Amino acid sequence: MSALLDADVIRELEVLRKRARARVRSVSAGERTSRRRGASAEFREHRPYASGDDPRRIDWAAYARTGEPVMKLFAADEDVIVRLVVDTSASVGALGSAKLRAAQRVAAAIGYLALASAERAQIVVANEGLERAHEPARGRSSLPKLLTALDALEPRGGTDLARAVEDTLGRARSPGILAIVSDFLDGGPWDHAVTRAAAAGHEIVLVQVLADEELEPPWDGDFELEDAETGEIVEITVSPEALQAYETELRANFARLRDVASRARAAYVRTSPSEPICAAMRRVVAREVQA
Amino acid sequence: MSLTLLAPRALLALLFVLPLVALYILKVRRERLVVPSTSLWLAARRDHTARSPFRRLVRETSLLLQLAAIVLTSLALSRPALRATSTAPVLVLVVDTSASMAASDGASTRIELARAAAIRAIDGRAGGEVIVIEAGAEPTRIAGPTSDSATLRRVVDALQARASRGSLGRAVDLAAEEIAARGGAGRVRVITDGAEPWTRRPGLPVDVDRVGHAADNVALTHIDVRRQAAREADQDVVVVDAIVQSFASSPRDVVAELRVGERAAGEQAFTLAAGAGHALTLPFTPVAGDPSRVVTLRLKYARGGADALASDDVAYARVPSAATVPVLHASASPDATWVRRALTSDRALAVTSLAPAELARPGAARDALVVEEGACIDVPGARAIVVLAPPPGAPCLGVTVAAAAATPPITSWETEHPLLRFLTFDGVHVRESTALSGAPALLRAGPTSLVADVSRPGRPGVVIGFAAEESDWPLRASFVLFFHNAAEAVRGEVASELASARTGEPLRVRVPPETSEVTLVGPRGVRRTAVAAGGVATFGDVREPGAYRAEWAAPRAGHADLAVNLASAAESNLRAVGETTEAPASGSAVTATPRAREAWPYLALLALAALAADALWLTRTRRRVSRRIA
Repeated sequence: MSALLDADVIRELEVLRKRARARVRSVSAGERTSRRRGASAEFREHRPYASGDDPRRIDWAAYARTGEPVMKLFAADEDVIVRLVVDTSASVGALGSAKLRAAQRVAAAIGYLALASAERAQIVVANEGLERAHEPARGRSSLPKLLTALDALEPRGGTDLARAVEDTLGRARSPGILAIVSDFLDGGPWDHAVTRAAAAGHEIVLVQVLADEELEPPWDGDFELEDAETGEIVEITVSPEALQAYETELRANFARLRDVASRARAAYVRTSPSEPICAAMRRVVAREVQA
Repeated sequence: MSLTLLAPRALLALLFVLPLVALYILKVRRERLVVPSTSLWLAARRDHTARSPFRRLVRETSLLLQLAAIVLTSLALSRPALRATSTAPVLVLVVDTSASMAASDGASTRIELARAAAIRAIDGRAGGEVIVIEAGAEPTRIAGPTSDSATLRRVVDALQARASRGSLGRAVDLAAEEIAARGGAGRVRVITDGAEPWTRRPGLPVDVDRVGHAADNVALTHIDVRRQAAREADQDVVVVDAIVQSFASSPRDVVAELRVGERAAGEQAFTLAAGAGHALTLPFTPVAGDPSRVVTLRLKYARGGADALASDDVAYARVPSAATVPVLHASASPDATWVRRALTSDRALAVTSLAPAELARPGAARDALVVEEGACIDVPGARAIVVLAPPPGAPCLGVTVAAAAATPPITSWETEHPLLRFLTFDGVHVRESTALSGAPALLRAGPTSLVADVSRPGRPGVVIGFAAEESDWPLRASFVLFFHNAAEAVRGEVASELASARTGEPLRVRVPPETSEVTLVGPRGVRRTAVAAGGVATFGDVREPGAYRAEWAAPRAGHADLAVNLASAAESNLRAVGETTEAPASGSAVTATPRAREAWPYLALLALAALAADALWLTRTRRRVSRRIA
């Protein structure tokens, strides 16, 4: 198993996944209820069986006719795709690799939950736009491929999260789950892009990954702060007053994210490298909106 | 209260403030730090930029503490001192109240003239405060510093001449200290008749008001009483020896009248030449009913009436007791007979001859006169000790004794020592003597000390470097008188008459060892009480000449009569105009003195506290720098 997800984490994620599925079953027949209206038992299409699919959904009649296992899908059990928009801008790589690593682990965990639930997972690499969109993967067997793709991510360039989201929406043939893993320090109009995605039927998950140094600046004295993406220099004397101003700005950023999550009926989870991945994933699964 | 800096140049250390502040302004050698986004810090930078450098400095707690440390250290190095007095110019009046100030001067007296001069000085001053110092037996500040003229006048009007020697020199020293305590701002005005010489200190501004004019005077300068045992009668004869000194410009006819209590005991008339001295001897037979053992010798003048100063025309002396004095005579040589013959010639002495080794017997010499020949043993309990011809090469009662050698003619001797009073060594020849060193010389032959003073408190003593047989001294009357003086010293009555019982000096009274409290009754009946310890009671500053009586009640009632005299030729010499001399350059000049409380230790502690607080602040600040957000 990859270093992104070790056996213990997967065991935890599996528990989370089963708990979530049980909760869904209590209200619907499918594993995941569609956000679109329609007849709940209406046949929609067949698709080939993939490893990890629920064997109960195999159309045994079709299998008897064709000899190929196919899955029978209904309107309420639409083929959900989880698009993992991972911010790989230079800001994620600043202050060491811990922040990027945390983002990779969160994306890997969400991807695992999707693949283990017979859903498709697609990695979208975002920095100054949509840098690259990997092919959607399906089933548990695709997990190594997904982890390898995540592991290969390297921070570079600036951030244009709004464009990356817009590009992703443009390429999407159908709505699905849009999980954006970023530090959300981009000053651009990403909030509008997220709102539009929600309006287009996407289920939004916002995961903000911040370095521990960003949540608790350990510095004191005089510094030249260099912006990792723009190279802008800010001379600062870290004093109690400066820290207070910084905290005010950061809390404004949190408030903006909460506001977007509220408008897009999205989940908003904030995590950092020092937080265990499973703790963050519990909040993701519970679709919490971080305070 | 005033604050002065004793080392103001140290304030230059304040210049260290400048580089410190400059370092804080210029120090910013900023560390480069790459952060995900500077957008969150922009507000902090705006706040930082909005602050002017000065305001930023003000907000720097560490800088403030370091500045405080520098300022406090600089102040500590400058030695600030709080003075308890003002630095306004002060006039210090030194008024001579010695005995000579009682001399008449026309229709007035010298002290009245001095009081008038002091009032003039007070009224004529330009302003400021005045201190009045009385130069009596001891210099005493009696007023001030004050600018209240009424108070000063009242104090000056109360000044009286004392019947004691003065202390003008020490009074001027006290005035100099008062001025120095005020930063050297002040002036001294000495009001004196000039009878007492004193030393002018360099740098001390002194004005001198001389009061009075030269005047003729005759004085009793010495008095002594001895008891002679009569050979043919049971009753002893008391002999009063005195010296009458003329300080007059013309001869005076003088009558000396001796009284015991109210009883006239003798009289002698004589003419005293100008400037001459007259040795007076008045014998009398004491009467059993005499109320006091103090005799009064008073001078009267046949022509010209009283002289200018009355207090030195009378002298008092105590008649010694008739009790025999125990004498231990220890001689290493049986052939030495001169000393024994001199001792046995006085019937008041009970002489015991013994070997020197026997002196070491405990209690052998209690209250005795010890006379040793050819030996030197420090005998505990002896009341007086005389050593003749000490063994050479060994220390003797603290005196180093050299080998015996031929002796040059005698050149000088002291007469102030109680055992050498009224003695003359004129015509005395010493063939061979040891040279004595290590103790004051009483008899000298050129540079060689032949007799040394080895007196201790309560036990007079001399070491004579030669044997009686090695000189013709035994053939002189002074030889017998010397041992008589020694016997008188044992009686404890010698020193009290003229040496220690002078006005203005402490009066020591011998009492039983068990006595704890003694009352002294003065000539006018004034009573004073003193604590006795070890058989001695001391009364300080006895100012009035006359007959005193010390009384005690325990362990059994007893009393002792005492005499106090002026006995000062300097005070009696009213013709002296007095001179002041300049102190040598190395003498103490008047400078601003540190009779002030220095504050540097406190400032140094505060500076250390500031540094400690700075260290604490820096360390605690770095630990506290931030808290986790969210």
